[in-house]
Amino acid sequence: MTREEKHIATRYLQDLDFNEKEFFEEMYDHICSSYENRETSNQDISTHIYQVLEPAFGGKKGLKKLRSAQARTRGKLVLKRGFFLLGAYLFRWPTVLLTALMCILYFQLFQHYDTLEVFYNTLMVGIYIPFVLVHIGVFRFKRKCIKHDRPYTKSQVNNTIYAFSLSGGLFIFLVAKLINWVAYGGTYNSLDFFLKHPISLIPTCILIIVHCLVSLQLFKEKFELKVV
Amino acid sequence: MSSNKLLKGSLATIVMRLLEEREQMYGYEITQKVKELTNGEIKVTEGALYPTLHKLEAEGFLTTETKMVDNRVRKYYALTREGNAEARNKVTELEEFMLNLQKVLHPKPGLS
Repeated sequence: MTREEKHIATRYLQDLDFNEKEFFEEMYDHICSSYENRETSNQDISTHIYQVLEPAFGGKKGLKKLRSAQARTRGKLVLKRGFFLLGAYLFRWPTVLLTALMCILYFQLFQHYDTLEVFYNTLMVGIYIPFVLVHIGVFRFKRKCIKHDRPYTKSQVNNTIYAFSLSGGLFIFLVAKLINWVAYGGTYNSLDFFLKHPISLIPTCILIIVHCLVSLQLFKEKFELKVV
Repeated sequence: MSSNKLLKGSLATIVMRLLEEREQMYGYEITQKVKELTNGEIKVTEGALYPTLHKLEAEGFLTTETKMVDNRVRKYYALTREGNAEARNKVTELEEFMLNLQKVLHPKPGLS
């Protein structure tokens, strides 16, 4: 394929807003493979894309639908791994031992230090570390894509890990709010709720740390940084 | 009914059967292999193939590997261990269905 033909294939996908590594690469390879093996040798790439490939994918709408479905599938695969790890920390041997040790540690910490201070420090560690790390990862991936002149700047896997990492704090506060509404008729705000029921802080802190560990493990295992 | 509609229910079986034989294939290769094996009678459209591949991957029956080919990234699909077992089940199931279909379409004289 000539440089110009490759450029047309790339532009076609870019015009459809396909800027995620996984989908872009698969579709780009498909277009190139199909064009290289076309039945009519004098057919140009634009004609091949619009007359052969696009209809086979169900038009532009079909391609967009396919992209969304692939993003969902990839997201599910990452989340499945995330929830497996989460379950392992909470219920499976030997990782559950670590959680048990954390329970003892927090119980001791609450005995000796200010409850609110321990809680804030846990929040800082458990939410900010994955938050900062994932942001750095996303930024590095984007910078690498630009440096290597890639036509995409995102990754479906990275997007899911990003969402998972940020969901931790939000989830904890939503659970606290829900308990507060159901059990106490919404009497307190989230922080008041934790302060009035200090015992609820131990499981909350454990959940924050476990979520942080899972986010870090997902980042280590799956986060996409390679662009070539 | 068009052949596409008939194909829809058995596409996963076809894909898994091909991967059982070839170990790993990429999307375009699968469409061409089906076309070649059926002398162009069955055409697997990309709009049907990729959702099937992604679904099988999500179910844990397929695994993927990327390789650099001609200066571009190519994604290869291969069967997992569970996928191999599932492929055999699906092929057997389809063969039995075709056998029963034959019985319905061509009943032996004297049975009706």
